[in-house]
Amino acid sequence: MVPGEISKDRTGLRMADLVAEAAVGITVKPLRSILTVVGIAVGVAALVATVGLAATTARVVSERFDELRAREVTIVANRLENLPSDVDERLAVLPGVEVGGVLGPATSQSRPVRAFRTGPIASVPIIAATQGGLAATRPSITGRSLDRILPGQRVALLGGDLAVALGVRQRTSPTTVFIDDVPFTVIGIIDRTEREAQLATAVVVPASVAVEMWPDPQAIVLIDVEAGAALEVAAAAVLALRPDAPGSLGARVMPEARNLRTDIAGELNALGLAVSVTVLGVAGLAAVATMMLSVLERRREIGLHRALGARPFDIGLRFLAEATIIGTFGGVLGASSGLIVVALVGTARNATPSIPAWTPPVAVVLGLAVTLLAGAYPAYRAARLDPIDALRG
Amino acid sequence: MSALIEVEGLNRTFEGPQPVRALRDCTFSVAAGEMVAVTGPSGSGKSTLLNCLGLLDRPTSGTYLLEERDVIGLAERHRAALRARRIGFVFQDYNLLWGRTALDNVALGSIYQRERAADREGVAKVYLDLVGLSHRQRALVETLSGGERQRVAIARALACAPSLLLCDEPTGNLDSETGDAILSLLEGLRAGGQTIVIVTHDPSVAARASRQFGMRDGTLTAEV
Ligand SMILES: Nc1ncnc2c1ncn2[C@@H]1O[C@H](COP(=O)(O)OP(=O)(O)OP(=O)(O)O)[C@@H](O)[C@H]1O
Ligand SMILES: [Mg+2]
Repeated sequence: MVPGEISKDRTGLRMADLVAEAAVGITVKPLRSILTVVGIAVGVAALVATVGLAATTARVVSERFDELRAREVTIVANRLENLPSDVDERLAVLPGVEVGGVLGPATSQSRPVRAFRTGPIASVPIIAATQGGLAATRPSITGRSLDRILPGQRVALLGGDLAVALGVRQRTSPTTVFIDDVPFTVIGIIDRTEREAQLATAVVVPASVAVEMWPDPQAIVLIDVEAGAALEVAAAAVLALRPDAPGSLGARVMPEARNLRTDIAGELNALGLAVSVTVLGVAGLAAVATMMLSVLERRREIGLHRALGARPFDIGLRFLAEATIIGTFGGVLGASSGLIVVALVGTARNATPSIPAWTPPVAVVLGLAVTLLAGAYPAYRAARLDPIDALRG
Repeated sequence: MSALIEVEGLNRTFEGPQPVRALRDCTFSVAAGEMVAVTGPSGSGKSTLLNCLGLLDRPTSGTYLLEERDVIGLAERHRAALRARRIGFVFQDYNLLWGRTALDNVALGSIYQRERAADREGVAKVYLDLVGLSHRQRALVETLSGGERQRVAIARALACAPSLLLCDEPTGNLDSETGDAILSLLEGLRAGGQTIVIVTHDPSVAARASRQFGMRDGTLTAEV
C-alpha cells in the first residue's frame, strides 16, 4: 500500500538545518534563553566550586596534618625512672632530630590546682616535661620555658585556656599556683601548641619535680623530627636512651594520614553537593517552565512545520536540540566560572587550588543532562500538538 | 489524464459533547492541472476539507486517492513525507516566520526534503523571482505589505515542487486589487500545469477557477 517511492525518499531535517533552526529558535527570545543558560550555569558552577573548594580545603588541612604527623616520634617507657636524666641532650645529638624530650602525664588523674591561696580550685591534668619535650609540641610561650631550670625547682607553665580560667592572665606580677597545695612559681603561659592540643588546659611541671612529687609519672618521650626521618630516629632514639635495654622502650611512628584526607573531602563534599544539586534542580524546573512557555508561544510555527512535512518526531527533536544548545552553553559557562571561583578563592587563601580532573567534564555533562531532562516534557508536548490546532494558534 | 485527487464518501466528524459533522459524504475528483475552487459560507467545512486533502487531518471515513495511492491509512511519517514533497499550503494569514528574511521563509519550504541549505536558497530565489519579489529577498517579512507577504507564502509553498497546491482563503486578508494580483499569479501557475485547490467564500475569486464546488453544512453541492 505504501509506495516504495515514499519510503525510499527520506524526509526530516538535515543535521545542519536542525542545529541552525534550533539556534534561530533560541535567539527569538534572547533574554529568556540567556536566563535559562545562566540558571543552569549557576547550578553547574556551584557544583564545580563545591567540589573544588572542598578538595582544596581538604588538601590544605591534610597537608599540614600529614606533615606534622609524619614528623613525630613517640617513645614510651614503663616508668619515668627508666629514662636517663639527660633525655634532651641524648636526643639532640641524633641525626634527624629537631628537638625532643619528656612530655607525658605526671599523674594518672587530674589534680586540684588554684592560683593564689584563695583562688578558685580547678581540677587540672598535670604534665611532666623537659625543655626538649615541651619544645617538640612547637609551642608559643609568653614568659619563660623550661630551660635553665635547676633540678627540683618548683616552677610551672600554664596552658593558655587554664590561665584565663584561673584568672592568672590579668596579673602582671609573678604568680604562684598551688598543685596539691604545693606552691609552684608560674614562669610562663603556653599560648598555643601545634601538637598535643590538650596542653591548653593543663599545667606543665619539670619532669624532675614530677618524679619527686608523684608516685608514677608516665614515661613518654615526644620527638620532633625532620621530614622523612621518623623511622630512622625511632630506632636510634631507643638505643640512645637505653643502650643497655633498648627492648624496654616502645617507639611509635605515626601512620600515614592519607585516609583522613579522603574523609575530610568526603564530608565537605556531601553538604556542598546537596546544595549544588538542589540549585541545579531548581534551575532545571525553571528551564521546564521557560521551554513550556516557548512551546506555547510557537504553536503556529510548530503547525507550519507540520504542514511543511515535519513528523511529530522532527518537532520534538527540534526542541531537544534547543535544550542541547542551552544546556551545553550553561554547562561550559558554569564549569568555567566554577573553576575560576576555585582558583580565586584558593589564591586568596594562599592555597594551591585543587580539583579532581573529572569534575569539569562531569559537571558539563550533568548541566546538559538536566537541561535535556527539563526539555523532554515540553518537546513531547510540542511533538504531540495537533497540527490544525497549532496552525490556528 | 487520470485524476490527481479522487475522494469518495469522505466524512469528518469532530467528537465532543455536541459532535460536529464537518464533512458529509463528500465525493469529487480533481484532474492534474486544474484550478478548483470550493465556496461556501463560514463554518460549512471548507477548511476541514482542505486539511483532509493536505493530510493534516484524518477523515473519519471515506476513501482518498492522491496520485492514485490510497493515503487514508498511511502512517504519520508517510503522510509527513507526502506533505514535504507533494503538497504545498497557502494560508489566509500567511504564517510566515517573523524576524527572518523573505528568502529564509521561502527556503523553509523544502527544508524537510533534506536538501542542503545552499541548494534550498538557490531554489528559493527562483520562486521569489517567479512571484515577482526578487528585489525584496533580503527584507524581513514584517516589513513587507500584505500582498507581498502572501507572495512569499506562495513561493514557500511552491519551493517543495508540490503536485498539489492548497490555498485556504489566500485573498481573505487582502484588498480586492491586491487579491486580484494574487489570483492572477495563481492563474499563471495553473497555466504552467500546477494543480490548485482554492477555498474561499468570495464568489468573485471562485469565478476565476476552472471549476467550482459549493459547500453547505459539510456537503458538497452543485458543481458549477
Ligand atoms: N477541531 C474542531 N473541533 C470541533 N469542531 C470543529 C473543529 N474544527 C472545525 N470544527 C467545526 O467544523 C465546522 C467546519 O469548520 P471549517 O473550519 O471547516 O469551516 P470553514 O468553512 O472553513 O469556515 P470559515 O469560512 O469560517 O473558515 C464548523 O462548524 C466548525 O465549528
Ligand atoms: Mg476556513
